[in-house]
Amino acid sequence: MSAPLRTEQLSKIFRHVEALRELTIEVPEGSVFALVGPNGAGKTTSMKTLLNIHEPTSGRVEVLGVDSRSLGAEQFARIGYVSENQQMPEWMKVGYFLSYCRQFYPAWRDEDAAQLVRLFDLPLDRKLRHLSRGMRVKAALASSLAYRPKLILLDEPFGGLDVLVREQLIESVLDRTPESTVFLSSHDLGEIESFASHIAYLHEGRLLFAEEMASLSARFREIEVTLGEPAELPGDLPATWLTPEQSGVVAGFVDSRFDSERHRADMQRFFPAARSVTARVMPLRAIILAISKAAQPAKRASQRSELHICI
Amino acid sequence: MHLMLHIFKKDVRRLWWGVAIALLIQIAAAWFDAVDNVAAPLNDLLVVTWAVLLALAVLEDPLVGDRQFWLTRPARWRVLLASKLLFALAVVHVPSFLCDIVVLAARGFRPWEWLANLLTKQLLLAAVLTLPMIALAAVLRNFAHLALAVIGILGLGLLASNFIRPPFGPWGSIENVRYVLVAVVFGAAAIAVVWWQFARRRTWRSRLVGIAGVLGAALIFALVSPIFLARVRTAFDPAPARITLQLRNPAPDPNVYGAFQYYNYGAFPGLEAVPVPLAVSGIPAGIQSLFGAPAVAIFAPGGERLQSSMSYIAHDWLILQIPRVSYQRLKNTQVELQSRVPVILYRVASSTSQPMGARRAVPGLGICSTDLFELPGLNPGDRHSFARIACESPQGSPLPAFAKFWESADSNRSAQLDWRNTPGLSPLVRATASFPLAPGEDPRPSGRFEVSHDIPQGWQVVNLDLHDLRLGDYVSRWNEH
Repeated sequence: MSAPLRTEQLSKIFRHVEALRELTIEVPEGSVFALVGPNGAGKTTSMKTLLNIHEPTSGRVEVLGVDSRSLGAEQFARIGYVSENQQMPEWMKVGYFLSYCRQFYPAWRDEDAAQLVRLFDLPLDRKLRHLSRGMRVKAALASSLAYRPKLILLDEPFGGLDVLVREQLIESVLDRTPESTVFLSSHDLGEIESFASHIAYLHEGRLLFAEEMASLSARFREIEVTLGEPAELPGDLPATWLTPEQSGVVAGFVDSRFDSERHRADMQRFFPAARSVTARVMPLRAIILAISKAAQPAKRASQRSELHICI
Repeated sequence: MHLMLHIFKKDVRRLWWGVAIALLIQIAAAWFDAVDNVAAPLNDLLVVTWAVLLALAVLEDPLVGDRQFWLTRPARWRVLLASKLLFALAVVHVPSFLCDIVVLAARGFRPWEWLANLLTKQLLLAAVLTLPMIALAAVLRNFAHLALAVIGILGLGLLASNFIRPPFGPWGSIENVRYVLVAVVFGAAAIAVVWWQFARRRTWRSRLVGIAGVLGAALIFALVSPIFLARVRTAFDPAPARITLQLRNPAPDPNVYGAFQYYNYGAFPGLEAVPVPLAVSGIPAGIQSLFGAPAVAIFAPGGERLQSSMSYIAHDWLILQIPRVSYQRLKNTQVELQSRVPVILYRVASSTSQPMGARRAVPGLGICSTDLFELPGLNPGDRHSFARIACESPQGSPLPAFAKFWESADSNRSAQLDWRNTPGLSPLVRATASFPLAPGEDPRPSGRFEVSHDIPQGWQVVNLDLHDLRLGDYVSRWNEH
């Protein structure tokens, strides 16, 4: 399958601030690809650079087979983009807004639009400026889904929305897959875990990992070791063991390269006196938290703003 | 085309109130113009309304920023730009053009004979208003920023205007070249900004282009010399003559004597007026000439160079004005004078007679009407009567015209028609001359006007290069006279 979205060594520098550093990702067709990371990680910059709202400083972006710098009406007719802080024509009523957008898309389907209006319970005769934030996002999403875009980009679409609205939005987006590919950025790790097929983690403009959700879940384990008697943690722990801690006879860490065969051998080597060892599957939230925690001391230890963790 | 109209209709729907106000003002201004009562405040208001509407139309789909919803909609930049230009055409240019046609027709002119003038006016309007406003709105974030930028540009224009002397007489048509050059630079910069910003949305680069354009226009406005303007004017409208200026054997001329005394002893203290006799040749028979005020460079022995402040050429004389101190130092030495002088050649058209109370065409000038009117005096009940001739013309710039008022068969008075500064939006330029009447005088039975005007024959820039003059000789000859 070809990738509807692909970046190669993509960098973006705003004056002296390096917002993106050599980002290379490939979003498979039909996937729901989530870009996560802390505030200021570069998620929104990535989105805007992908859509040629910002010009890349270096590197390359290919969207629907076209270089992002050459994106035109033909490609945008197959792209749906919704951002939490998008400036909308607030004077328009919802009905007029949808009919205004309709003219731009040859593939617009009135029945889809009507269905989305019903699903989101959008008041057609109310101006956008008089809608709540959630309703505005719904209106934007309705205007971006009614033409069945090949590629859907969502920039923090769920921020500040209540659970019910989030569910509605997620459902409406997932209904479009696998015909559509979804690329979204979010803080909401809990929601992401429930429907994303792929995940990438950005930290200070740098990609720490990008992979399938299943493989991520498979390779991260929270390890707890109970020792026979209190002892210092060995100094030569593998770099893939994140956030090692010890409290009395209990030692714990996150293994970011978990493999059951190697795990047994590692336990024998580093904790020969262990009374018990448990390896727990981690939710996405815990994985990201472990990575973030590991990143902080690594950054502090380094004089440069580069990360030296191995995940 | 379809999307262009779609975006255009959206803008009109959004700004319908402003469009309606602009049209109402436009119609009112045209109505006043059609009944010969130009309402300058309405014209000013119309320009402001247009400017605001154009800016708001562009800011409907703002180009500055990265959060606008339309950025990722499938509209080509050409479509967006075309929709904004269509808005400008529909709201500014088409109504203005149609109203001009109506005004010309209402004032007795055949509009189709003046289409070139009317279209030129629309081009200038686009260069100085439509395109600059679209360009400004395209590179600024919001209306408040735009208002500040407009105030800044107007302030710069005001500052630049301090550097130029107001033109007089036919030299206004040379100064018009200055304004046209400014309009061309302004318009070209605006086109570059609009094109660059709509196509690439590189705001800072577009702003730099715009700033360069504004500064360039201001520099041209302030610093371009009248000689350069005259050369440009000459290139487009050359005189069919080769005029030369040479020193001639002086012979005091009573016509110049009064002017010489005026300059020497009254008007400019501290300046010495030196009348230098000139032989002007090369002017065809039946053609008149009018020389512009040259800036004359005086070269003295030892490499000293002096610039005369304001000098004049009239009646075959150059009246050179130099500081009296410099004159005293140089008066007995051999000097050389060098300058370039703009000259306009013209022919006086035959006069047209106009009885009191009539309105008729004056060939080559326009339509003139005559009437009587009264003004209140200082004391209550006092009334002062005047006979007036008023001429109007759809030509872009006014021509020197003269009126002779015959109160009776053997008594007349003359005056140059004063081309009022007609507000720029009117398709007509208007001129009047008024003659006060004696109490109880009624000129209607036998009074009449005669109107004549100058018909320009072309322009030329003539070299003035005079050698081996002793300035003191010319002054002493005059003093002897």
